Amino acid sequence: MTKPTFLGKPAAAAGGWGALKSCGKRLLASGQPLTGARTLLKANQPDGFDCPGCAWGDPEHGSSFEFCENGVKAVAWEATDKRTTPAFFTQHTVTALRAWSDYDLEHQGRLTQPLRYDPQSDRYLAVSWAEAFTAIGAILRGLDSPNRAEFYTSGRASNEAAFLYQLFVRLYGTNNFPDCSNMCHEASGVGLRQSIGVGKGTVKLEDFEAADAIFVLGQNPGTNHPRMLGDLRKAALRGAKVVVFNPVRERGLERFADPQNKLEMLRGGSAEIASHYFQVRLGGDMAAVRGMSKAVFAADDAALAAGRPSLLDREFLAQHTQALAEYRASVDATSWEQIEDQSGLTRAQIEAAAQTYLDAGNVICTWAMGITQHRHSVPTIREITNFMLLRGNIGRPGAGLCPVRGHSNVQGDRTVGINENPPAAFLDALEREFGFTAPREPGHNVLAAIGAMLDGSAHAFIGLGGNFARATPDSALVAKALASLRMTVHIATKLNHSHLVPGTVSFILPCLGRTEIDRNSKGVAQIVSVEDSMSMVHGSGGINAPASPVLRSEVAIVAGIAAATVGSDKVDWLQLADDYDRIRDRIAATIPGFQDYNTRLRKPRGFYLKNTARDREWHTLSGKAEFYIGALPEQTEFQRARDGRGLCVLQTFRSHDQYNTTVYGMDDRYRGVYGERRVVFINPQDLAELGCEAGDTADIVGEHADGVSRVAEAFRFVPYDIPRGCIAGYYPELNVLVPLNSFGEMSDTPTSKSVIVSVRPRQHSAA
Amino acid sequence: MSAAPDSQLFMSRVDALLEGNAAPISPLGAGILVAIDMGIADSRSFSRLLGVEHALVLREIADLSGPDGLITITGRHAKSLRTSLALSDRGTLLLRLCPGRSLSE
Repeated sequence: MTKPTFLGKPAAAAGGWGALKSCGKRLLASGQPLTGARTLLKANQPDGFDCPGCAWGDPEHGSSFEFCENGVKAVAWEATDKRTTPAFFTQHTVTALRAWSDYDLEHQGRLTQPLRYDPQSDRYLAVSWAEAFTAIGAILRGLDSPNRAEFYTSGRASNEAAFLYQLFVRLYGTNNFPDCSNMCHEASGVGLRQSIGVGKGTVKLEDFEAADAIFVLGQNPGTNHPRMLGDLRKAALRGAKVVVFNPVRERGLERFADPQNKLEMLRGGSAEIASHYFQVRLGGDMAAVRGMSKAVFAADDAALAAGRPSLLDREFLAQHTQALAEYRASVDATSWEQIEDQSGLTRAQIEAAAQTYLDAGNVICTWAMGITQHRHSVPTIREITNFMLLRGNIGRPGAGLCPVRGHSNVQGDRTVGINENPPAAFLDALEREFGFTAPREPGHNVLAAIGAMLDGSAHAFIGLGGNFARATPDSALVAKALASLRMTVHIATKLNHSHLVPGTVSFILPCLGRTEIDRNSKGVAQIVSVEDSMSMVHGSGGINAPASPVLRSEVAIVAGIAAATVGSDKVDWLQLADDYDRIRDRIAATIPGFQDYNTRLRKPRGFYLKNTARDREWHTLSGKAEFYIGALPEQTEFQRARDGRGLCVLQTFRSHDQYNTTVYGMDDRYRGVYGERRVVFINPQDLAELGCEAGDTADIVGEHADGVSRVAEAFRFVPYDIPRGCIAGYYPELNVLVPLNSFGEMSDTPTSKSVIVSVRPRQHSAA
Repeated sequence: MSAAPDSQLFMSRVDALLEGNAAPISPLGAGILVAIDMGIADSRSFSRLLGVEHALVLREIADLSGPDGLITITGRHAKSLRTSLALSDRGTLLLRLCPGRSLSE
């Protein structure tokens, strides 16, 4: 008899070992006598391990990365056995390495030694930590103004590293804090602050268990936040509706097989996620949401005319909101023709989505970069908020707004002070706690920092993680700007392209990864903390031995640079770096919501940072939630492109084997692309009109009207289910087409989801 | 082999190791040592059989396997991080000095 395929090889020691699970519980009662020990099932949680793969909430904080493809990739990427040692650089010049792909560079493995660029040999050479810190401090002190330096932060940095970093930079004298949030959810922060008085989402993870409908806009969680799919799946299985608005048909949003359900995985089964999937045109989300509001108003009018109760939450609207009448007038003034043309959806489709909203008691709305990276992203987020306000879907269980962040601590970094324009109260608190005068002049965000590099006013760049040269728009231009600086410093775990455009003086400072055990001078393992998209702050301790004994934590590196630059009179940097509890005490003393930080951090799941809008406290000018009353954009980029000849709109996105600029592998299995990244996804009819077939090659040419030539060469066509006139492809390869001078109104977020381009098939170019 | 005696033997050896060992070792660390000696010699098997999250097992393995460590890492799968383990000479000696007998003896 053939053995069923779902039966694996039993463990060698499996017989009679079932009762060992109870032993495991006892072993976890760490530090206590085993006899009679408390058997806490999840004793690991207070100092669990936070997955660096995304910022989705984590109910079983500890090992959730094990059940998420991205988490496994992120941890394996960091835990590689490969090493990029100084010997590697004796074999390769920086110029030669520039020809390598992102994938090939990072797959050389972990950096092991501090490195300094040697212009004579065009190579990086090993340097001691002390030499590096001394040289960096001397150059920073030698600048004629602190505002000559740009201090970038990646969203991977922990609360402790980020807090120490901003303290150092402000003591140094500037608010120049370009950070990765500027390139992703800045628009969410701006829009939500205007509408509800707080720039964060209002939902908790448990709200997903009580939602009757979840609207997912401009987001591909299957690739970018896979753990979110588990919560969407659970919601769908209990009958909640999942309504998706996304230009590209993403398989992960249609069906999802739970990795924790082994039987389902083996059978190839899956559960349906999206009850409705609307393929909106690029940049058409605002019109779609306004259309739903229009339908909701119409349904309410009809209900009232028929003598039925209002479909709106009139009590909430009266007590908690401002400018409903003006919003209604703005919606009435928006024609269905305009809504249909911008969104690319029919009135009937939009009315069906609105009916789902009306049928649901509790509604959550989530979104990501598909919403935030447009010129009108702030108005779109405000429109989403308007829609949710109509039925009181903010500030009650099972309902709310949920911008889903990417980097695991991008939200926390902002909370602890990575902000080029911080609130005065925060600076006041810093001054009180540390006894110095903080700079008050707003500093540079990413766009302003790049501008300062290009115009020569910036002289130094320090990167706390990230890959600035590749993540930014007009990446070729930014690389040149970095190379023109007096000093570049990159704190990193692996080699990337930003390291290969060194300034006159350049350092790569290798740091511990999130997965690695971080011991202080007494040998005690330290934990850091992060804040997820649901404002939960929790601890994270490494799980693996460091890749090299020379590595230092980000906290220790920041402390070393700070001590060498501003001295230790005001702050004993090295003492703080030797005990992160002390850093957390200083955070607690300066930032509201962090009281008793060290104790609460060590409780299961950590603690929740109060969100005023969740409690229906509105910290806006009016003291109420404020409706956005503006019109739709006069034209979206899609409409502008359509009016031009041979133009279309490009969005950049990740492949499935990718995390921001980090390329884990060359496949994109949900979209059926293997071993190739220079591809462009295109509607089959558009492809036919070009006279091309799948696999043919084309150059993608930027058509932004600023006189700058932007060409992405030799991309292969992939016919795909995407609206006509819209195309898509991977960043960072296509970032060369995203214009620096096209950005979101009020947010400065790059417009990476609506880049006007033309497609020039190569055989046509040659003709 | 019934389930109950196995788990009792396992825990009695862990208790003995903790009581008799002057060196700092956590209950989880002691469990891993005893488990290796009893034939559970990779991190994921230990994690699954004892219901201890793999991340925690990896962290404990890092502690136990340093210079002059009690265990030796003999292999590691790059993606799953499944880590194969063996007792080092020091670990073997420690277990022999403690009350309770190894199944392999």
